[in-house]
Amino acid sequence: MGKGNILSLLILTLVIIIFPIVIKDTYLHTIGIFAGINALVAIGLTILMGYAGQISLGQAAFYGIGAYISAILSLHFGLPVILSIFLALLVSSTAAIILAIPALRLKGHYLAVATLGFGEIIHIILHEWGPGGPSGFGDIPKMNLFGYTFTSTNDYFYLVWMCVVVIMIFSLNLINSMTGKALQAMHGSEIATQTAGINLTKLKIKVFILSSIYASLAGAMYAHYVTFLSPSSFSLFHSVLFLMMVVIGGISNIWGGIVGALIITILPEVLRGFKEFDILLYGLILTLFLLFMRKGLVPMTIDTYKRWIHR
Amino acid sequence: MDSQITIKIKNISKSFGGLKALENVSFSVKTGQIHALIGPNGAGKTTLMNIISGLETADSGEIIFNDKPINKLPPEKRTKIGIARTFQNLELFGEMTVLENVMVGMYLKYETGFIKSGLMLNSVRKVQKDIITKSLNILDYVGLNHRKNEYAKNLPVGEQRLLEIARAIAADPILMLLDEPAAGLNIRETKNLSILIKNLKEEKQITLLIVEHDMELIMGISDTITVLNFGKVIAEGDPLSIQKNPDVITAYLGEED
Repeated sequence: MGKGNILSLLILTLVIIIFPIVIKDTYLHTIGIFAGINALVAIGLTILMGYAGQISLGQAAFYGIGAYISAILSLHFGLPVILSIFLALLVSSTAAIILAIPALRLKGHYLAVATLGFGEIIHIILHEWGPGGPSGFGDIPKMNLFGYTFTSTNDYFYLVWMCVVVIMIFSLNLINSMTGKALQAMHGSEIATQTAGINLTKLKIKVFILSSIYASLAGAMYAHYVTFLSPSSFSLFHSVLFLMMVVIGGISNIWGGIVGALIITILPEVLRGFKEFDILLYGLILTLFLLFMRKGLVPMTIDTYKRWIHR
Repeated sequence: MDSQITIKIKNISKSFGGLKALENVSFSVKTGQIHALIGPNGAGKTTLMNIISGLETADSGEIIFNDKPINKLPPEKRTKIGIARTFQNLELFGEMTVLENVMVGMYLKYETGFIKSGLMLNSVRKVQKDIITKSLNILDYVGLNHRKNEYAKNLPVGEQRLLEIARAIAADPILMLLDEPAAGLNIRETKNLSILIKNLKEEKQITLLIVEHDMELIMGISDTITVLNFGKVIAEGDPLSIQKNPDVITAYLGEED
């Protein structure tokens, strides 16, 4: 890990610690929690898109699997929350394997199509067979760890963002390892990577599984924080939102996932003051981002900074 | 006798639509030799390279590497058993540094799992250090050490070709396939390349199969030359006999009326 990343991690950790202390508004803490949950999904998706060059249009499905499985296991089967989360991650990575093996053996964007279909299937399943059907279900147990039950917004803020930091450290290590270099190489030239002795399919499948695990972890966090789930939170619209986070933050840098998640989560709240114009402004701002900051916020900021230094 | 043959091409045929790119091509590359594959444009040389490295499949025929048929192996497995290559249309990882390009070439020898890498275990750290040291040695060997931190895409063509060779060396191959390594090189660079290729054979004991148009280079370094024309082998022999072969002269210069 480079100095820049370590410094960024330190700053992030510091901000996380200070934020709830300085700002007392619970509403802002709540937004912070949702931003952190979204960031978990976006980090995984950034690795998948930016490093493995694959697009997933069904990340909300893994998010939903994580949420529903963990909620059902803890609520209806009385399993400890931490065990339910672990099992949910297992289920979602199994689903990822089943989906990825046929889709990734083919060249081209078959994964995008497969995940699009998968997202719809999961959405329909939750709708038809999920507890409570379309109206959803509540009373999901709160997060519980070593006898301590997380109740306050503060608790969840620290829990979620601690997960973000841990996931970020893991991801940065991975990206900076030989595995990360192989991924980057694959983006540069597939045939050269292959003839360098690297199994592309295996690598892509692994990254896809990783991204699904991150997404379902986020889903489980959501379930045990909100304690109420309904299928409407796991639709194609949400998959597209996750995609937007990654694109706006910048796919070539995993910090982009966090930044994108913050923007996409906070923006609708900021625009709420514009009443009926909020959707219009939201669309306009996103369009401007895509038109003028194609590389994404984080890579562009780094480029600008480098240019400024070399002046 | 066969033990002295590194790779045997047996009756390989390949067509694209109605075009026969290769027709019953057979020849053997002897261990420790520099073997050149020459022929006019469109003779099927690159297609054959792609079939040997597994990027394309032959319609019929067999490739025997170290006495084992390898037709069914995917490209990455072929590299693992000792076949590395370079590309005519340079396939470098442009957005990565020169050093990183070579490091990727070593991945197959030192694969570290996802979980181990993510946790940055000590073993992973140690392997990474090893890889860097070895990669730097290879860059020294091909004379690119001064460029190690530059992006591959920013190198001039001559150095990009060297980098491709460096990356191939990193895989520690038994057989190296070079697809037009001298294309776009100036006279001085070509001279250095011929020295490097000879060193690969003599110092690193790598067997080489080279596709090349630069006849001076080929005649200077090759032990054996196979000539392809319209997908067929029309001649084989040492440089001197190939230069005198009437079929070869006809293939290159056309027939006299």
